[in-house]
Amino acid sequence: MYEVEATGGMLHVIGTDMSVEASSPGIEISPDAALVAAVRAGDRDAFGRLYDAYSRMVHGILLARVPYGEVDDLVQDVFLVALRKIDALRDAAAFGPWLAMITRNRAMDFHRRSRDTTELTEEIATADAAAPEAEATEVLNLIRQLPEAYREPLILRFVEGMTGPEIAGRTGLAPASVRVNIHRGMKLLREKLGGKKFGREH
Amino acid sequence: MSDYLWDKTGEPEEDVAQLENLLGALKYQPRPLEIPATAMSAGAAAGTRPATIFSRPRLALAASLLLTLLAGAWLINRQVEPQKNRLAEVKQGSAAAGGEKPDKAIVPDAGIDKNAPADKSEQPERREDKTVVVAASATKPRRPARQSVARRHRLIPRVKEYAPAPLEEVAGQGAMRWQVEQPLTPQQQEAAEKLMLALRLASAKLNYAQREMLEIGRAGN
Repeated sequence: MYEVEATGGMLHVIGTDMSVEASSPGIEISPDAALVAAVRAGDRDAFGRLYDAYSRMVHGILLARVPYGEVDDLVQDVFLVALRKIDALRDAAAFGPWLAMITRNRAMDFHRRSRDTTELTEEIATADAAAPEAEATEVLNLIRQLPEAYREPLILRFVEGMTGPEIAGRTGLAPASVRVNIHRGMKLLREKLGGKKFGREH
Repeated sequence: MSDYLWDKTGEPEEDVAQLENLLGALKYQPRPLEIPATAMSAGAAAGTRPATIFSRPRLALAASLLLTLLAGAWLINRQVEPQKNRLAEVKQGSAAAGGEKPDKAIVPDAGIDKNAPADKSEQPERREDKTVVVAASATKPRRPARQSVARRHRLIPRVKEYAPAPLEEVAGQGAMRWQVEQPLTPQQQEAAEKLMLALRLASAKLNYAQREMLEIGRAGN
């Protein structure tokens, strides 16, 4: 096994492990890369930690694309696909962007498959939602009407509560573009809301 | 300007705070990941396979290559062995018949007198005639002192550089040489065919191993 020593934002992997890319002592690898290496070696807990770190991102990306009621199951699906394909990930440090791509593909796949079945419209889907969530779902639908580039960052920011730098770090997008997209998206959303006040204030 | 929208620092604007509160109700509710046992083992197996050097396809490839090399070496050895025997027989025969030294069969310029001046004009012509002495090292005799002297004075070219006289001339002296251009004997032909068969078999095995490796790679994905 190998020892992991945390210094600042990076981890030092010390020791040798046949299945870990950073087999030479003292090589700096990102925490994600260490976890990915551990998963490849068969460590179940390491995948659990990746799940904890990225489930919010996956949930947010799915929420920008698929009905709210389907998202939870799809989150599980995405992680299972990631686990099956983790060997195909070339740069272990880029686990986040890779997972984001899988998530987007899974959402597209969901829509492709649901064409054959009876599709539940957003109106019907939202009608079943509980009252406090109904208002939230209404705003969510407004966000979904925004250009695609603004949807993800806004949902990750408002629904999942992630900060801009966190969104950039997890999805692998440039911080500057995330910042611009959040601000422009917010501007468009304000226009759509038209100064509407929401009842749920704290 | 407050940058609360970007990194949650400073004072939040009213509508931003409202949206956070409202949409926060839809945020991800952590639930344990249900990993089927097969998925985990498949993932782990797929992950460990390329990381190890001693994976099954690689071992199969290495074994095939090793077998090919061994078979080739064995067949070549079988092919060369009769020639060695023939050379040894020739040496023995010439020694018994003419009382000439066996070196003559191998060392072409055995007739050179150490006192005679080197005929420099003759050497380039002999070099052009590129018949090859095979297995010279295997039948390397102990050289007489006069040859060593001659070699020391560069009167005799090295064995590798040496171009012996045509076969007919040498045969007239009671010695026999093996030439590269000589047609193969039935034994040699048989050996050559076996070598080719072994190489084809090894090639087929390599192709099979390669296909298997590709299939495993596809299955892993």
